[in-house]
Amino acid sequence: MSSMQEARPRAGAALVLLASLIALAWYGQGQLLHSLAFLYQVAQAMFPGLPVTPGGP
Amino acid sequence: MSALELALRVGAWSICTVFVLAMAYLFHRQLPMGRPALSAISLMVLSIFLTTLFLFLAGLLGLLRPGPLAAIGAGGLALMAAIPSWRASLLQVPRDFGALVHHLRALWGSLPGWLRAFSAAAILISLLRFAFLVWALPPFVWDSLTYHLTNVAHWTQAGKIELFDTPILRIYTPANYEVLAAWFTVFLHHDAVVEAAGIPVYLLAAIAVYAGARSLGCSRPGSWMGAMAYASTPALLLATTGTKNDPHIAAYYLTSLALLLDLAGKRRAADPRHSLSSFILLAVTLLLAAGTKAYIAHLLPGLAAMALLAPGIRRALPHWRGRLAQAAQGWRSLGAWSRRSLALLLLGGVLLGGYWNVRNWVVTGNPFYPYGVTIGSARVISGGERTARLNLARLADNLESLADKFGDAAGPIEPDLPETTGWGWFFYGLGLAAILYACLTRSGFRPLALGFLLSLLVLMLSIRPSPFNLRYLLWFPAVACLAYACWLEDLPSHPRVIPVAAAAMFCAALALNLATTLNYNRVSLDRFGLMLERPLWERQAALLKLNMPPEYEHAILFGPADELLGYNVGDNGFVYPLFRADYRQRLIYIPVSGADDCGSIAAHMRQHGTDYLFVAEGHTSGEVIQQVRDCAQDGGLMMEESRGLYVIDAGS
Repeated sequence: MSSMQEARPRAGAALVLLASLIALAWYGQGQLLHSLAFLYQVAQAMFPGLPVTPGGP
Repeated sequence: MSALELALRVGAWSICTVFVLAMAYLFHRQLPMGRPALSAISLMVLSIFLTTLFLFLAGLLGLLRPGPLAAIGAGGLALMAAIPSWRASLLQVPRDFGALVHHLRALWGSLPGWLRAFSAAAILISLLRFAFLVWALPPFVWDSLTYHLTNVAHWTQAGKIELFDTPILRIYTPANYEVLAAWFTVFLHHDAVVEAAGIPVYLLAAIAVYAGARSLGCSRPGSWMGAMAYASTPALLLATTGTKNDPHIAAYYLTSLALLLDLAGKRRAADPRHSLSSFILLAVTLLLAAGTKAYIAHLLPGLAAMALLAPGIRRALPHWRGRLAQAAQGWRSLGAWSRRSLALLLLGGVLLGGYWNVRNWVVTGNPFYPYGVTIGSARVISGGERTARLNLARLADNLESLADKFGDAAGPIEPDLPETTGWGWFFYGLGLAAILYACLTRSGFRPLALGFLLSLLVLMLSIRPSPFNLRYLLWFPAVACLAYACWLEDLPSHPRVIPVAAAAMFCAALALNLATTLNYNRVSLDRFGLMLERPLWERQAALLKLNMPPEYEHAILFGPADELLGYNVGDNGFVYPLFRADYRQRLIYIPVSGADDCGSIAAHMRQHGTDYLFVAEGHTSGEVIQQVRDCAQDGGLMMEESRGLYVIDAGS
């Protein structure tokens, strides 16, 4: 495979990775707290000293 | 339930399971698929289909009890052992099982070490998660408590599949899922494991994604990762143990897609039997889906478009003509016995696909009862208290709703998907970019993406705009998983940072998907604790205080468990919790309204053979509640036994 041919998928894959990172950050900014709320609740049950978050489950 | 009784019930269940699996295996041998992934699909579909058919026929005959079912199962197994050709086929099970293990080991061996470790952990956690949720919680999803499980409970209690008097008219809708769910209640006469009814189709859906990716030319590891990604989709995970039929439709859609992709491909060796097998399995799958939920019809145009475009638009007609000719040749090559058995299989499919609508047509004059059908502004099918509409205004409303939920930012992902799509970390984080990449770089992927899109658009033309309608799209995230599998094929192995970053993001997205779904995002720890304090057999839907008014708890705690209980709820009210987890409570609907006076209400109750009337805030009309409350306060005919539970005064 020529270096030109090799470079194309590499660039494409790198672009997809970059786009995925941005998309993960975008999605995470909206969903992360929701996603981890239950785990935090479990942690609270195990460590009662943890602060209580408003609006948790 | 005593240990002996439990052992007998589990024994009956085991006999019937072996019987159904043996039948599935015999049909499976008649349908050679030529590829391990498609063979796995064949065995799964046939097992689900024959389980449903077996229980359906037994239910129509009034044999929905462990004893008669076990007798049929044992008789069937004896018959299989007595017929030499069937016995010879069944003796091949160890050899075929060995071949399956060999294929699985080859697949497992093809995975890189990190993926094997991650997969093992993910499978273990998923198994524990499913087992815990099935074991710990009773059913709680709204539609299940109104109509899905109300059918299951009545059939289990009555020992037969039949219509019954209830204001919940959606018990008329196609109910193959409910028949399969009854497999998980009839033998134990209890709903302890009914949430497991979605797990077979969950597995089928994941295998279908794997097979679809393989048909697209993806490697085993890439296809495996695509399947894992789909299996981690939060909306699917939550629905699988949510006692609803949407995961079933998703699995049947993706199975059809995998079969069509295989038939549409050029790689397929020209073995006529393989084409015949794929067509027969496709028909069985779609018929099973037709009797499960009507919206499979709205997904068909997308499947058809994909099938037409995949071989290339100009080659489509000759390609499919060739496939059909192959299938016909395959049919001619069969012996008379094989032809008869496959014809019988298709007949069973027609029965499961058409029974519910034909019954409704005969009983009510409308095959889609309780839905009338309106296309544009024209009423195409009249009758029915509800309306299924097909028009462009709905498309706009539904797309707007989808746009609002896109990105899942508005709230936690819950089983009914009130604020989110539920497609999760993988779809949005990795899948969207992969779809774009695959569409731009792979001509073979474009027909697939178009098929998914068309299915989505046609569905959006018709589904009722509602906060809860995204559950009809459980199949959609699979397009991202297939695209991701394609993208992995192009992923260069150097510099190392690229595959390492891709692997890390894959693991992170799937781990976060699982973390999102551990507790349905609805059930707090104290609710879990409340259920776990009770023995398994006493975990009642009515006692899980999520969406349940306290009247239901009172009905369970203070109601007459061994007497006929009258109830009055609206057409979207909960009936299922009143049956109790062991289906002991006999129920009768008391059709009263706020216009009935106390004497009339009491007369209705007596006429229906009960002294009790159950009503509940939010489920019974306010006028009826007020009226029975007034009747009890007047101190005449009725008295309030506990909140929401009224009894005719013995002295009146």
